[in-house]
Amino acid sequence: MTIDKLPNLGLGLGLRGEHFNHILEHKPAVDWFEIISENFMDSGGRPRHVLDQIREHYPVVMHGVSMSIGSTDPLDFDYLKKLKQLSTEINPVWISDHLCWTGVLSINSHDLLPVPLNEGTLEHIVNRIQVVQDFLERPLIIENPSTYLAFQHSDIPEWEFLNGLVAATGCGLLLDVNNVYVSAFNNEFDPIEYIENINHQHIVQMHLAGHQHCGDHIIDTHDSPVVDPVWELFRLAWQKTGGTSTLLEWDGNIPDFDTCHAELLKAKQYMNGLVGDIDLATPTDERDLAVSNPIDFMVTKVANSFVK
Amino acid sequence: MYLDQSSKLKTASAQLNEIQSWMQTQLLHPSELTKEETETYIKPSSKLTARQHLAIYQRSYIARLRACMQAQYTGLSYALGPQIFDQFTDFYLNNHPSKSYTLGDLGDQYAHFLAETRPDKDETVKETWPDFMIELAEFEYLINDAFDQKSNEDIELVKTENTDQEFKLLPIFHILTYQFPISVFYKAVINDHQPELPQMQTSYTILLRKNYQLGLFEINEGQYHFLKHFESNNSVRAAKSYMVNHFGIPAKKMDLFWKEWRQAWIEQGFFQVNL
Ligand SMILES: [Fe+2]
Repeated sequence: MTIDKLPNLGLGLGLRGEHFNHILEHKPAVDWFEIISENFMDSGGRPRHVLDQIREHYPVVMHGVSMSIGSTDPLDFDYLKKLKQLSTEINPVWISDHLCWTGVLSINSHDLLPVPLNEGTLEHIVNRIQVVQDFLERPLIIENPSTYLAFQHSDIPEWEFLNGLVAATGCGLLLDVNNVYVSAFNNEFDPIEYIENINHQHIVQMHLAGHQHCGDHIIDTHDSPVVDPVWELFRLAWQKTGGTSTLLEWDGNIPDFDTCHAELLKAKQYMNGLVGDIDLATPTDERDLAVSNPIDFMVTKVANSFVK
Repeated sequence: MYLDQSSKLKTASAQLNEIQSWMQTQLLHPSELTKEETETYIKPSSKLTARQHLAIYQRSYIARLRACMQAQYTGLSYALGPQIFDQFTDFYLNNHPSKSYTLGDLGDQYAHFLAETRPDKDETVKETWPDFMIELAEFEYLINDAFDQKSNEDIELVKTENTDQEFKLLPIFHILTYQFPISVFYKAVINDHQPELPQMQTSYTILLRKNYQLGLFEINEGQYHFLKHFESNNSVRAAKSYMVNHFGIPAKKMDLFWKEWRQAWIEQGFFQVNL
């Protein structure tokens, strides 16, 4: 299977436990859902039960955080087996993970850590993507993570690195427009150049999310609405790709379903119209020290699950 | 020197491995780094030094895992207070960094860790508060586990008209006893009643899962022994005569007890029909 067989699913939302009841009750008119794969592997409780019902009404995509494709640890085949098992059971439209490593020496930091971007790591990751794709018997979709540092050993722009992965493996790309904005601010590169040059034909999906601007850096918190410059970058990416499956991630301070859905539907306003000059500045918003990739979507809130 | 393709890759992966090992060490065990050492690996930017860039990851690593542990051990975090809980957590994570693909396993050694590191471990006379913390940690781990474990939920609940011979406990059914009123305390915490720390007092609790929802029910000592016996023998009659023989309860009285318990436990959904 190659990526050009993958459909445009429309506008989707990240599936979160807070919204389970609403979705089951109201069957809202959202086009598709993305799940965090690790939350449903080895799972036999209510989340999995709810997912099985949601699958009957909506296309579902699996989005993982623990493949660690950029690590020097050997690929974890126990993990990959469980991932494949879940995909056999729930039949996702595709499977994605991040251009990152999560740990070495068998340790999982549960963070999406940046990889040095050079010829050597490109080859290392190309080899690993090929192994994973052969094992899963489907293309892997790779997302650009939010990054907060750049390595001395990096000498390839991230978009070019991703294009290199695509050229060598045929993998798909998940372009997180907010992550481009966040990483560009933190590491001082041009997000417009990034979006103009990334391989548009291989972008299978886009992510949108809110972040927290801390003045001298930005943290990808997924806990607020999408900021205007990110919407403008989305408009550019939409035009360049000709439109592709788009998904809103909201993981911290999760509002009710309708608020998330309304934020997602704003995307429609940016699908047409000319791309003008993009103002990349956002106001700083002073809050407590933020944590990237909040855990809310990775742990189940069991306390809410008691018989009342 | 000419390097062939495979040894070039080896060199590259040795370098990658060096960077990753260094960075992981800095996340798990942050140390005072010199500017030079940090800049060996990380580029400074016009807004932040290399150390400040790294610090973003260092903060997030520990904050994320603390938040995860607090979510899994709500009761314990309340009992210890969030600051002391975080100190315990940091110490725990230092000794048990995650090796699992899922954060769901992060706290799986926590009760054991608390028992191993209790301050009075080698004393003959022990304080009671560590016992409370350890029991609470065990209980909260069990709850997390019961919530998401695989189980057949496609069962038929027992009704009043079923015969005793048809009774069987639910697939996820834990008959628990603690030295402290752990479950009552836990429920008060999650319902935001801000309870005081309890005195030592033996408690008996049922934790069950029915239709993907958990239930907690307080029972008494006699009911505990009855259900424990029933759990291993699956016979109401045997459990009743066990109670008569071991606790000297007159058979007639035991029949009356059972009549009462039977109705209450059917309503609470303890039993499935044994097909
Ligand atoms: Fe994303």
